[in-house]
Amino acid sequence: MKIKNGFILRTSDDINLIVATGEAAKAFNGIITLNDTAVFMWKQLEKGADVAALTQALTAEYNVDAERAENDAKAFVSKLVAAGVVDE
Amino acid sequence: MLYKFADIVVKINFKHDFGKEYCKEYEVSEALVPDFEINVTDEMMEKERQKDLYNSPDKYLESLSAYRAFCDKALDYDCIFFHCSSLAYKNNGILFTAPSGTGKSTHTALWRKTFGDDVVMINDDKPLIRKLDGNYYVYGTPWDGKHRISNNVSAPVKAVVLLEQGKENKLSLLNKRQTIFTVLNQTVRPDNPGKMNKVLNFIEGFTKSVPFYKLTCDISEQAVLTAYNGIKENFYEN
Repeated sequence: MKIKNGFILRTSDDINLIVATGEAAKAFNGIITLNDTAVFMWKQLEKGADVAALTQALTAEYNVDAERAENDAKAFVSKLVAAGVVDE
Repeated sequence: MLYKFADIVVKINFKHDFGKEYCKEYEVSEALVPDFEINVTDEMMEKERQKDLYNSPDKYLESLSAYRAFCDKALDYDCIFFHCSSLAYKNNGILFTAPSGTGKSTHTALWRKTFGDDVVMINDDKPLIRKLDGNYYVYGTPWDGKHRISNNVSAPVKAVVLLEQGKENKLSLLNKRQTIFTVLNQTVRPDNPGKMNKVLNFIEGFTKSVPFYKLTCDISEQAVLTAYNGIKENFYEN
């Protein structure tokens, strides 16, 4: 799973933004705000994690069962894929 | 010819007289050393043509291209472009921002009507905001909207007000996230990641230093008074 080139994560106090730059900015006009858990997942994606790796990271980091973690990971990824931010 | 915008000296070589006329009020002595130089290329003109919605003539597109190039370089000088109608009330700078068509110009016209000479228009459409010595200033530019309202002056920014049409006149503070988006939505977002970071840095400092409000309002003098009474605590006493 790969984040498309040009998307940068920018944190300012407690506000986390994903902004498109370069080529990505031509296709993506929006700005994404992430909560803390989403930032955690984004950073895993930056390392090339797939849904399975995301799920594992979530269960290791948070007090959550595997099924819930997998559902959340899938939901997060599918939103980013639909928005054209991530390649499957 | 040398011009000064937001206390930045720039050399612009306009091909069309239109651009020279447009920026006349901002000319400065040729003896000064420019911070940088702008030449409008055919490539820049083509880009501007593609963004243009009004079939504007080349001479106007040239001046817009020059401004776009200026705003891009100005990021290196802690300066951003901000789409808003800006005025100074007794030298207290206030920025009124909103999507096009909401009524920024209508609202600031009411401020002029209500307060007369205590209000000076800085720029009705495309002012520059610059951080100098830790403070944020709003500057007039000749790119001042369809009614051509601006003055070659500046004022410290004391409040930013996001306007929204509504039946009731009400002022409230924006939360942190809303303040960031208020600026991000009305400034240039560069393609280049380094420049985008500069914009985000600027916005971070700006939103921490200056109070941001939302005003739902109608088109009445009461709207002005509602805003004034809410934001005046931020003003310098003059």
